[in-house]
Amino acid sequence: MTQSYIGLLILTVLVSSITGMEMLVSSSDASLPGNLDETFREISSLSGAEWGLGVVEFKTGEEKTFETNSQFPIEIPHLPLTAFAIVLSNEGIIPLDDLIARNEFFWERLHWAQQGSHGMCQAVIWSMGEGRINEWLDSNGYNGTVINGVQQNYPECPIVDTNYISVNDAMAFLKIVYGNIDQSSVRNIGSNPPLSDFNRATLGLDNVIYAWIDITENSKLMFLIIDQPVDSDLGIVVLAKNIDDPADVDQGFRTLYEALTD
Amino acid sequence: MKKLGLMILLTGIVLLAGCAGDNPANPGGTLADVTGLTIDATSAGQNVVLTWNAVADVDGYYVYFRTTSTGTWDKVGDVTATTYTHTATSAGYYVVMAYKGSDTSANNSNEVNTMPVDDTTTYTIYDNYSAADEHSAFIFGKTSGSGQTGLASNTNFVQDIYAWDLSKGDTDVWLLSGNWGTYGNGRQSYMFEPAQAGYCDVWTTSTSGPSGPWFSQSYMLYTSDARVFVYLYDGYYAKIYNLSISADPNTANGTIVSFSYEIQTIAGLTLFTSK
Repeated sequence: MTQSYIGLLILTVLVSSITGMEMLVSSSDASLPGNLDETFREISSLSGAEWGLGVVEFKTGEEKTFETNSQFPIEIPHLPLTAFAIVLSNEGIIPLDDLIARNEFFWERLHWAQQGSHGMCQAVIWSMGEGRINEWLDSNGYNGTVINGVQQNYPECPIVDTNYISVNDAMAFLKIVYGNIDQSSVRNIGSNPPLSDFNRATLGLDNVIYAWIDITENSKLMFLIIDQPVDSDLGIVVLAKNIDDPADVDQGFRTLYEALTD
Repeated sequence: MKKLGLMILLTGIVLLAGCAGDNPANPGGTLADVTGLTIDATSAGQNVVLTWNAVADVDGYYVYFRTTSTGTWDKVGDVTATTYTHTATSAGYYVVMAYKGSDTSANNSNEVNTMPVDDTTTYTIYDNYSAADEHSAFIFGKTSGSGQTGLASNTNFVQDIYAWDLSKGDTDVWLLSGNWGTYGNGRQSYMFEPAQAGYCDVWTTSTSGPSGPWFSQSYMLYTSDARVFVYLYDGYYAKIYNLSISADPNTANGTIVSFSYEIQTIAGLTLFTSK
């Protein structure tokens, strides 16, 4: 019996060693550039905006962030809801492939939210239950995220308090999405993002992009999973508030993306 | 000779067709009438459970059904027991008669029916992109003309359903369960897409409501829709018909939903008329 345990221990150490070596090689192949801090500082000096930035190389887990815990207003909290929906689906509570309504799959509503539908995003919140969402945020330490609902724009609609997200939480949500990207319904949610022409040009045609964008009068938030043809997939978070022009944020994103890929 | 034989045969057929037991409106037999015909409380969905009092010394009972109060009776059952379950595809009327050989009851039993209350009033509700003072919510009443519209935003109006637009289109509109969404202070309703007018083939006897294709939160309406089945909080089924969806001319993205409805008066039955 003891010998079996010892054998198992040796085997475990061996496997761990091998896995660690692979991680090391992969990390070496796809590590983030060393001058990212400088790039972050460069972006943060663009316009008079306040910035939050984050990058993760999914395969290695290597990541860099800037203004990690500052909160940024998010009008349509599609990314955190998508992450929670994946958790609920994996637990069998609300499968993404469920018909949540007539001719409407649950993933479909999340995709419409990703496309910018206030009403659909609110419907997702109703389906999940605000209490359950907040419980999930609290229990997982997503303290930078606050979800109060989605402000609607029909006559005399109730005023909804501002939602918030932080770089740190956004990075965690992107990792949840990426960790389940093998599911077609998850890919469906994040596909065909409403990117500006400028950002499409930045990203080129070779990558598969899953993204969530939120634009208000004075903020723009970008959350992207970039599935690259090379063995390196990136997660990028660009948050900016108090902006004069959303194009400034696009420029910041281009600066960051080029630093990562050049 | 052949002609005479044919005439005798035809006369025989006519006599047989007219003999007692083949006209439930006027059986004219010598047996006692069936009494106590009732629709049992175990009836559910399309299954109408009929029971009646026994008649002594008979071979069995014929069960007749028709979809209108003056229509032609169709024999749907021939049983020896004093109960029969009819799987119907429409609401309708029932009578039973006893038979022994070719003899039948003198008269039909009492008549029972599964006809829904038909509220032919045209009700109109508006979605949230119409003016805020337009009624958006609805309560199904169980007597004709007792349906009500009201403001979903009014917490004193405990609606069964209300109209809501999740995507801000001119004719985009959803029916929301009364207890779901921003104004979800109302009662739970489930909605279902009808395959036909007269019946719904998916039902439940559970108090927690039907599952599967019944939707407990919202139900998108298409402009081509004519009907919607609704399962109400108290176990009764209703059918919206004469459904019309149109753009509200007074607002940019408002939508008007107008309809009439039938509601079953027997809890659990999913039978309606052909409307």
